[in-house]
Amino acid sequence: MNALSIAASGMQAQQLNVDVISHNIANMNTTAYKRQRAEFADMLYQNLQRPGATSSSDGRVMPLGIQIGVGVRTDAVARQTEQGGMNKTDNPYDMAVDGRGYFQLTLPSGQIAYTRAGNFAVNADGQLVSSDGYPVEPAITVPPEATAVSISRDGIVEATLTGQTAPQQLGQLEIANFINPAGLEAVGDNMFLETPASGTATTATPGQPGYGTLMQGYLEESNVNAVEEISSLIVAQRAYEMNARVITAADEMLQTTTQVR
Amino acid sequence: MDNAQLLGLQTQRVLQRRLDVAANNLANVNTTGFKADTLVLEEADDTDAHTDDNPSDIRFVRDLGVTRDMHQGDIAHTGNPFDVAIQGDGFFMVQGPNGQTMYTRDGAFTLSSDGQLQTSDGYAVLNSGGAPIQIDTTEDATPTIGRDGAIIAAGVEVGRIGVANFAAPGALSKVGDNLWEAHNNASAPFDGVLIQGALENSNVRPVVELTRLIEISRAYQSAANIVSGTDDLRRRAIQTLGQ
Repeated sequence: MNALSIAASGMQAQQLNVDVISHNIANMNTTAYKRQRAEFADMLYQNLQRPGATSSSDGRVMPLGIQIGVGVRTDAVARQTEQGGMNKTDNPYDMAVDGRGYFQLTLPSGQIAYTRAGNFAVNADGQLVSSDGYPVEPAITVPPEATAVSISRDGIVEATLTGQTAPQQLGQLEIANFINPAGLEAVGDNMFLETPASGTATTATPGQPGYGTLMQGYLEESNVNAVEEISSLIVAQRAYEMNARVITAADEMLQTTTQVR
Repeated sequence: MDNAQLLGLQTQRVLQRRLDVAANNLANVNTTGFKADTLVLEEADDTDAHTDDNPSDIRFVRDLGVTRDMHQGDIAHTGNPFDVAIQGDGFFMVQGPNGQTMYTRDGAFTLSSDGQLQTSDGYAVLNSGGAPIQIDTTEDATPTIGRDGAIIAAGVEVGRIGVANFAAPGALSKVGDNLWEAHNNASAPFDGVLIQGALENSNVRPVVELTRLIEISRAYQSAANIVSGTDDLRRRAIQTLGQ
């Protein structure tokens, strides 16, 4: 009787489903968080009789086979890269990418990390850094005498310096794009790393074909939909219960067997 | 041994297998594109359990095959541009591990790092001509996939997702990983539509499966009663005759 292990695989799958859903709900207010979805696939099948096999008695071909499945497994936890909503903050160093693309951050190791969370700030040296203090690539340094900093849709950072009327250009931000952004490796702190699945990053200034534009004074909200997550949670919980019911049934049957004599 | 005891045993064996099938259906209640299985039973025609003193035929129950409930699963919106659901009969074609064509109803596709349309297990999705589909997304943000499977990127058709349809669903067997294997060529025309940004849910009906579960448990108990009843009868016979 496989039913016990089949039901156990179902319970494990639903447990992981609940883990993924709870992670989404926990990150409902995380800037630029992308919701994830657990995807399941059926496990291999025991072929007790292959479809199309010839029946031994009179040579007729069986139209059906006997294939018994052995449960479910988790196929992938896929990140949904849908655009999140835009939240107006009016902070001059807050930026959101409207469309495809990731900001680039230089990690202490020199490696580039990618993020959609544009809640930036300037550090003591005037350098534009992420909220965790990693410098934004390409580096932008805001002079201390700068008053109003403006960032255009295509990433040009300009500042009005005290005593000057014409704004001075400080640099232009670039965003990175991937063929398969869902293949990026999430490393926490809203950051992602390049992987063989994502493909290599191609960078361009915002607004180029295939790249999004920047919105100053806005932050991208997470794309978690609370109603959807709660209903998925109900589905996952009920599915878990049903699999537990199978275990009870199998247990009852085994009990019946042991009580025959 | 007595026929009654053997019949009871065979019934229990078949019921255990029915439980396995119901358990697998319930385990896959959230599996994209999953189709529920049902075990078909028959009277065994070639294993008559004759008794010398009783001319009437006694026949064993036997599992004849597994049928697939091919009815449409619910279509759930996901918002992912590479999720595609089939509304209607038919299967997506994917390139299996040995280059052979395999079939799936699970349309949770992604792009590989070189722009190939793949399943979440990394098998290439094929067009109607049986070739992998290459999409260049650097030009256009998100390609649209038409109801006929045409992938339009930056206003140009870059590929067309192939759908194979079979006249007899028994011509396919499941191989796991949401994949199916065909024993005949696709023969029927595809008259359904593809829906972008959606996935087909499993078509397992929990109420049916849970009801079946109860039925299996009870039938198993009855079969066990036959076995123990026969045993009882024989014990009493030995006791009475021995006196």
